[in-house]
Amino acid sequence: MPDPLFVVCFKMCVDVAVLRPHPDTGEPDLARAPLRISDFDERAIEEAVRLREKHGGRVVGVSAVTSDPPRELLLKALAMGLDAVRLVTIAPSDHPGSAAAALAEAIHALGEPALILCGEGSVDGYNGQTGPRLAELLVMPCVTYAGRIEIGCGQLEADRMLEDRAEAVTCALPAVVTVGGEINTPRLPSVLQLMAAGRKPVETVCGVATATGVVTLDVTAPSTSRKRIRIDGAQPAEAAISLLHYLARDGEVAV
Amino acid sequence: MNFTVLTYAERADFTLELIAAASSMGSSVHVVALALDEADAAKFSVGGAHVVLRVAAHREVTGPADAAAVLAAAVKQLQPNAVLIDSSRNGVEAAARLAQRLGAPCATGCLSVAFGSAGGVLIERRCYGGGFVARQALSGSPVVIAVQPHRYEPLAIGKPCEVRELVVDLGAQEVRTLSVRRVEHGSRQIEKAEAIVAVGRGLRGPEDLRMVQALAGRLDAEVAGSRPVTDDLRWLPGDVKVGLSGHTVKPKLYVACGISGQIEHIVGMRAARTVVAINKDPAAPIHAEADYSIVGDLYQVLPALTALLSR
Repeated sequence: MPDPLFVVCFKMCVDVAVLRPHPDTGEPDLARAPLRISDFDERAIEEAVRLREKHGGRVVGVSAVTSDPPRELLLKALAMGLDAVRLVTIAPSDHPGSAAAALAEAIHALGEPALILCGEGSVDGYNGQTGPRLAELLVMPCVTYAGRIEIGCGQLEADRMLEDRAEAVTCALPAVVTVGGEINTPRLPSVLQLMAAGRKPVETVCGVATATGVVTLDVTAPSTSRKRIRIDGAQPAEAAISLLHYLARDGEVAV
Repeated sequence: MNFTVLTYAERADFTLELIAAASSMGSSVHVVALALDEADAAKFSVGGAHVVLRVAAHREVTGPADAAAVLAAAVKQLQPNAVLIDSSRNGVEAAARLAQRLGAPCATGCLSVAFGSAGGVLIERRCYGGGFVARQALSGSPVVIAVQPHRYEPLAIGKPCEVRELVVDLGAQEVRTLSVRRVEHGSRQIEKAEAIVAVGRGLRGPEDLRMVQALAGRLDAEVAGSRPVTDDLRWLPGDVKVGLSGHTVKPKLYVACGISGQIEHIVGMRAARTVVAINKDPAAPIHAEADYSIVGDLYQVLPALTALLSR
């Protein structure tokens, strides 16, 4: 497999770790949260770069976007090792499958990839649909939730990390693979890599019409009704006694 | 209005939950359950399904690609209004593949599902790392929904219904399984555990897990971890990860040690009856998600608790 083309689909979305409910409406305060590359997609980029380090070839990142993404995110993706990025503009949509058609068309235009990687799900929606939908559109085998990937002789071998088991599977390339938290730890690009990233190509193309049939009615923060009783831990032994009294009173422990 | 809902899950207990979910979607729902063998067909026929379709294929149904093929064949025959699949990892893949094949909308990780007054399907699902719940309306024929486990109680056993055969052409197997390594030890046990002691980045090193395990032992609890500890640091295996991308647990007691309380983790333990947090940062979000929280050093508090409990 000389000069393999690895394609990574990645999503830039709101940083859910800092997203908070709006104090007045209880809806997600999207305006006040920055964007970041979705966590599992970062691992997909990392995995693709590792595969290129081992097998040669190129890694191209593809991302479906509804508006111009922040330049520093594109630079970060490129600095992690992508050779180029292709952005596909799509209309905003609540349909979790809306990106897949646009991504598939962009991937067709890139040539013949050996492997397509993406995260198992994006941190904002965690729908987990893009990878499998891509596999259907591109008519390729699909391996989801991969914790380990190896390629060679036109074949893929991977471990699928399921709830109660890990399955070692194999299929022919090209294939679509989705990855989760177990696969690797993404590298932090160096300053030199960040600087070099600015010279790598970023193209923007228009995507196909978005799928319809899903409408989000509302998004709210569920109320939590925890007791929120604080115990001062300055004196650990006393704090432990206080806690156990509470738990014993509640019937959680027998003391 | 009469609706037809088709159900499918790899595990029989999940199908029984889906049958209950389907029945609850409207006042007049005709539930058709897919079964992979005769034993399951018998269970589903008394589990509230109106019809059971037992799959007949030239080879065993394995994995999401086969599941999507089975479902596509059943959809073609039945023309249901909705398809319910369990929101396991395999279920999500099967649901997405089926939806793409049918040109249908699909929602995964659903907490609830119901037919709306306008004929569409209404669902609730978590989003933005689990800190928010979205309500969505899906329209199409059919609508494909993956439902979270343990949201619906199986129905009481009733009179047996008709069992029919569904012949499916599975085609060639594109993804072949070479071997399977069970990790039931961690994963099943934390899902069923009545008590869990979970540890996060507040732990300084894997050698300190002994201190956590000592407390867990006294509480008859399983040990679990937040995502940084399982995925990044690898001090605990992925199958005891609690959080949006890991397990959702519902123990009676959940003790979060050195866990900051990121939304991604909270969603996995929100259903616990009593939550205890130990974190030396008074501003850590975990304190707001706990019934009792100790703002203190876990390296002192855990041994103190363990010592008291061993008497």
